[in-house]
Amino acid sequence: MARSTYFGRIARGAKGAAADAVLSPPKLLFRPPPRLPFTAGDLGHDLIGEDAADRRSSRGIDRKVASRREEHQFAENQSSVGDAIEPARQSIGAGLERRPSRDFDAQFSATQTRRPEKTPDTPSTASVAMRERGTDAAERRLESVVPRDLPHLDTSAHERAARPVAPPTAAQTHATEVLEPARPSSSRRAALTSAYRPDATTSTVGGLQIGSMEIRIVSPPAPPPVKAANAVKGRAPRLPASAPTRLSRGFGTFGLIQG
Amino acid sequence: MRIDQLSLQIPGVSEAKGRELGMLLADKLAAAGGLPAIGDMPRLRVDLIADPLSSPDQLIDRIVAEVMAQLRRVP
Repeated sequence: MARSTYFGRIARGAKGAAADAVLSPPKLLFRPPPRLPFTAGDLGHDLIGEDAADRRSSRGIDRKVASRREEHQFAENQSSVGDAIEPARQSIGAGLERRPSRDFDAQFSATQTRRPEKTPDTPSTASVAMRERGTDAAERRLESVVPRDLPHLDTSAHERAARPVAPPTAAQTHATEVLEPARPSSSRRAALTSAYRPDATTSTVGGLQIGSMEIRIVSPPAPPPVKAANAVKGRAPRLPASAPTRLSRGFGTFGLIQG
Repeated sequence: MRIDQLSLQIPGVSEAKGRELGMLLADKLAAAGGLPAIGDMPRLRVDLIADPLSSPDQLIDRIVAEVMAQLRRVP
């Protein structure tokens, strides 16, 4: 007598889930990092040929896989219905099944790898070729920025426009600011006369040079003043010796006192 | 010969007359001979006593003579 218990369903459900986990193919949860087609210094491999060699054509292994797929058809249908990430295995033809770990690498290398053809002037190393391609791309960008068919621009204007603008260096900025040595005091000149004459440097080389000429004309000294008689003091004129020396005072008129 | 700055101090003469005398002095100095070919004199000073009886040309001749005498003493 079969008894269906709650624990029994749980146990069967757990067992079924475990079976699904075992039988279902591994789900791709992350995309493997793309492998670079070649590295620096790689001399180059025929990756497309390798991709073709990776493809298996053994029917025996495919038959085994097909038989296992038929045995667990339930799990296949469950995964194809409920999981959109995993593609259905029926879409892959027999005999051309790819290994899943190399599938992305092969596609990536087949689509991305286009090595430049070897020319006589092409270097053999891939790094040099990459540098050259980068230089060509940079030149194409410059050419696309600057139009060449403008009629009003001459060649020099084209070159100036195509030239990258670089900030002036300190040496270029201060190139003209050269300090002149201090002039000696004996050679100082008037500012307006020496600074604005274009031939100042040529005239100082040779010839007679006079910095400042001061001419002063002074008036002749005044002649000494002529001494005149002081009339204010009233010096009495000299009298002859025979004249009387005493004048009478208080006796009336100016008469001489004869005595 | 090059003179950077020329100043004239003549009492009793107007500015215009002084400018005219200065131009006359420059012409006579340029025409004068016997000057040293090369020399550098930062400052040259001439002091003269005016003669009330002389003309302006005679005054300029006296100035030129004095300048020449000083320039000949330039080493």
